[in-house]
Amino acid sequence: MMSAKQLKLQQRNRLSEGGRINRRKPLMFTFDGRRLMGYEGDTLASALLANGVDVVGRSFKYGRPRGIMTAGVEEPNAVLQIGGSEATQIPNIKATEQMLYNGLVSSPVNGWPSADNDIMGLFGKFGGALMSPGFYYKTFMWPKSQWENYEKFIRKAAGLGRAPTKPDVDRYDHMHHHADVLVVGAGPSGLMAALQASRAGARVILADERAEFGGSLLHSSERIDAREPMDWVETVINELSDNPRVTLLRRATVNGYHDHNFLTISERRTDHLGDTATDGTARHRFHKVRAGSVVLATGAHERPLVFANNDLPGCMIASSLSHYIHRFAVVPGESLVLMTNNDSAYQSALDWLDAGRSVVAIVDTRKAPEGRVVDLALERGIRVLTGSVIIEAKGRKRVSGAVVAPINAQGTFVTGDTRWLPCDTIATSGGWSPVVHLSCHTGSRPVWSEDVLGFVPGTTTEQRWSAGSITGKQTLAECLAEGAAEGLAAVEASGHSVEENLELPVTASGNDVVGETMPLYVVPHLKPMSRAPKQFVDMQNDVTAAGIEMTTREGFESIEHVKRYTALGFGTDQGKTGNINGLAIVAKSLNKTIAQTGTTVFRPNYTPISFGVVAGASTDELFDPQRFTPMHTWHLDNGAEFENVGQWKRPLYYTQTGETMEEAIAREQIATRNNVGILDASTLGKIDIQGKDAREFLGRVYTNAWAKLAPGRCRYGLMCGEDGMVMDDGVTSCLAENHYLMTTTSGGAARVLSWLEIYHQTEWPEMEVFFTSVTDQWATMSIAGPDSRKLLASLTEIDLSPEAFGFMDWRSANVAGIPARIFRISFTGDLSYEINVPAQYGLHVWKALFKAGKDYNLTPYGTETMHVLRAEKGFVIVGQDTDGSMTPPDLNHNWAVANNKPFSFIGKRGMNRADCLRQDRKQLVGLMTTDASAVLPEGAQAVRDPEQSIPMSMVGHVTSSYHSAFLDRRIAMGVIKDGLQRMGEKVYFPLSDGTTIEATICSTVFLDADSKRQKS
Amino acid sequence: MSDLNNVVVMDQVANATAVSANTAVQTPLEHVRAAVNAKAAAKPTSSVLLTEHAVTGLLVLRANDTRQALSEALFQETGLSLPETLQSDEKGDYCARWMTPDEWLLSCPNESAFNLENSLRSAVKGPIAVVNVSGGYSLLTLSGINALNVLKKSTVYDVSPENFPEGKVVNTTLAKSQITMRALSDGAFELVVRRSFADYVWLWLQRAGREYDMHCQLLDS
Repeated sequence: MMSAKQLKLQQRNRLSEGGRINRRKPLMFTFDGRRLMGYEGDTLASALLANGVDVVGRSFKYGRPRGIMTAGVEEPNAVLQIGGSEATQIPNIKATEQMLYNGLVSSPVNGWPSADNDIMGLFGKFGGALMSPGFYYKTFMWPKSQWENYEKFIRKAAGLGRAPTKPDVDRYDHMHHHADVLVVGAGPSGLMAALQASRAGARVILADERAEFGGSLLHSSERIDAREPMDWVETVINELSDNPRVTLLRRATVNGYHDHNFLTISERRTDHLGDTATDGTARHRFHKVRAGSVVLATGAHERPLVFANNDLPGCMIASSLSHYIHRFAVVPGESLVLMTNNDSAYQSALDWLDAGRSVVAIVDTRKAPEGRVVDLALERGIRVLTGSVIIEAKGRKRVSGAVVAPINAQGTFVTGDTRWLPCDTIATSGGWSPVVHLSCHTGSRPVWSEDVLGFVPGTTTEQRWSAGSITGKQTLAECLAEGAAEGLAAVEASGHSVEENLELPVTASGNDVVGETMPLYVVPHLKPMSRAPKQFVDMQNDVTAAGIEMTTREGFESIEHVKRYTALGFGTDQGKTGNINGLAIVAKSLNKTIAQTGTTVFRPNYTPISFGVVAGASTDELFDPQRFTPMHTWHLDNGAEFENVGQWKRPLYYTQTGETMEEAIAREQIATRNNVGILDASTLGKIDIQGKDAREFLGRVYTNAWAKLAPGRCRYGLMCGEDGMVMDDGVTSCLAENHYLMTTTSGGAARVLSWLEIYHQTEWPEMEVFFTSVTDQWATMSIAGPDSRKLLASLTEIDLSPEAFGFMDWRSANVAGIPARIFRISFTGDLSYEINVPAQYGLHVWKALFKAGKDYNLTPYGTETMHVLRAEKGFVIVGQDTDGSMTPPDLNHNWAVANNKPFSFIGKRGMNRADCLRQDRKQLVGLMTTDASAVLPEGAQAVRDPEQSIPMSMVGHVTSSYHSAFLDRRIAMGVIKDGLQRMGEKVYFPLSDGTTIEATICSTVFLDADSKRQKS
Repeated sequence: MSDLNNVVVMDQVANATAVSANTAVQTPLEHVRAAVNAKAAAKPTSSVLLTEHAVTGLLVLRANDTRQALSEALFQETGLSLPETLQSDEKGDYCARWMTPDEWLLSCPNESAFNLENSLRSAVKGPIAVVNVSGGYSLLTLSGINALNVLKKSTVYDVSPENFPEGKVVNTTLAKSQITMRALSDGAFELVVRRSFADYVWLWLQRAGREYDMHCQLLDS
């Protein structure tokens, strides 16, 4: 193993001084199994370059070696897999974005057996012709039956990295913000905008995707107020951070711009520190910002020029050289040839020279460049070849030289002999593409600017401003000025007055006179495009200039179609370096301008974000609220298995040692029918209704009559929608003449309360009635079975005799010393009491019942037993036996419809439509299987003739099916066309396994048809 | 029990001679208590405190045209007036919170809820509604310098002091549940949570507060 000193020496591209790295903090990491060293402050990319790693991956289609090309989020090639354990695997990490930490484990996402020696590369070499645009559609279609085999092969070859197979060990969360001004990007423009807004006293958020604020100033050689630019940045940041109304977010990418100035920011809080976050810290945080004004100061991405073999490692974007030299003290090569169509790239050659490496030549595509930087380069002794281009790079796994040739003024063809310039690095600049992505998210289309040679933000309905190179500004002075001006406009629009305009800092630089950029995107070759060596436009998707040209020849003219046919602009980089060059090729092939060709637009997210940050803290037990009843801990202690009913956790059944679910449910049923059982019914929706019009209101929202319900009495009610279809049911009790307690289904409580309020507030506001949800106020326990009277008598003082307390009566009483309301209602068909006590006493009373219930074998039962018991008696469950298309008559509940009420009721008109009065509607009936043990699956379709050939005429389906332990047979309910007129007829249920179950249509009441039990 | 204006008013506090309040009363967070070790001592680094309160008397008050009369009756009984939109009025153990244009939530000592309800009903002629919901909610307070940040991680509402000053009340969402939130003095907040959602809200806040070493103080059970 190498010593630390050897590892240090391995960094052959690291300068001995300079850079914004901490040399006292060496960090060890691995790449593709190799142990390497970098420093705190490095990105993974800068550390790899420092160590002279040329090949970081293989291209996904041709398997060509690829190296680091940029220094930012636009990077198409350096996409790596990182993670030290299975649970922390992350695919698709851009090495240019990932900060280095000690122990970082990284590897290429493709290339086998390694990125350096790849088998696919051979396939790329010889099979390249097969892999033209649309090759999926063309090559792998015949024979069609073989597609599944092709697909396996293609899937293996494609893709970038792999997902972890173990659960994420990290935590994520969200944070909401309300700001007057959100400034996106902390370069010179963004800093000025934030400074201006903050001085007006506004609430300001400044977010930047990098670890350090400064943007282009991080690698600038210019001066601000006669100081190092980063000194100026530090002064500004100090002022902003001293202001409590300013929030500074680093490593925070504004990745979505949504309607009404709602923006989302993904902050990477711990990715720079290690594989996992320390306990308590969220790895990523999703900031959700509602901003009064937004200033986009997102900058611009430098475009490469397209030439043959431009994907060789060592081919880089010009400005990235300055990034690596100034920020990381890394010079990624020895000898440089730089090609540019503009002035800005000259600085990179000067920086290269200052770093002590050799500049072979600057190849300027312009015939007579005029900017001041040109003179500067010549003064420094750099050879400048004007009117020339690099037509082709040479080399195997790294650039070994450039083929240079003169071109005509339009840049359309080569005009003279080529010459060979040996070098190991080729940097190019094709101009700057404003980062307009966020400006497009709300539907605003970017506009092509001939001055900028790029798309700039279009008009918007949002309160949004843009400043700096996003609008095409080229000099530092312009960027600072526009930042201040737009920051001013933004903060004023957010309602703050500005007393004093910012004083603009003084800048001095070599490029304050800027020569014009030449509109050149693809460099001509000696051979036609289709014959020349590959000229890559989109590196990540292996899209070539020839491929795009061919696509237009094949008839694809819409840029949206070209994108999808070639995959130009897809992938994790979303074509940030390639899109404009691709557009230019399409435009040229179609003989149009770029403006006429148009562009594809951008959706969130600007750069990839983790699934974790989207989910936030809503995971595991917090995925959705879990609602508990006051007796929940008792259920936990007594073997309950739970089911979800809405958000409630309800006991499904209670197991005793060694019992199966079926055995438990059978035991619960028998104990309830023979002795006494108890159900936690606290989840039932409960609505307190007060007011002198309460009774009339009930008559309008329920289908049945309420005029004569006396205080002390309870009644079952059906609630319908306007369409006449049953939407809820429950028992409502008359507490007093002007006071009622309505119960609803557990899942329907909120909906019913809203329904009542909507009708009260919009239709009948004159009615004097108030509704209050009391679902959570009352703990409800239902005791049922022949012994329930005796059990209750032991805990209350009131007379429970049938004469004094009849069926469908309610009484006020103390139960176990607790004030309670007791309702003699039954959902089992047995003698039953529903006890309501204030929720804080629920557990106390529940336990008291069990203490007293020992003598009666009091048995807790869950919802499964409840379902069986109610089905034995033919009681419906809204939502199980109904599906929103059932009227009360369909349920055979005509007895619960009072058509002669003086005022109409909701649903009356609907249920009397001709279609609802048809005889052959599906009607709820009982289903008695001929074989007492045959299990009718819920949902099984019914037919009248089992011999009919397919497609059979289906006449209904099963809605409820259970084993009744008490009756010792299967029982079921279902909806059958015209079922109520066909009692005794047979229906058949052909099942998917080929068998058929025979059943007889019968009453839904399987037990105690004359209701002796519940009335006893 | 009494019967005023043809409604049932029920004393929902058990007779102290019949049952011991200590054993009979159970606050909503029983499940949290069982599930987590929430009694851990505060750390020196704790910069936010989450506290559970004992069962409090809570009355929902409703009035439309009778608002003025109800407000006067309330003043007679408690010294509070019905607060204006999004406001609250607090005196001693009593606090009235604006909930909706015709609804207020009044907190009071648990044992005085019954008498207060009766007094208000007898004092106001005309339609009002009073509902005793003392057992249906959990009262929590969140305090400390990072209380604001915990809330920012939990609610979309702008809880900054300039938008949510002391005394203001809003009904809003907390994560995926609904809460009534009141700004208290010293940057503290009162949260009124539906009983069945209390465990969820507590666990949510506990997770949100972890990075601030939040100290969670449950009532002794």
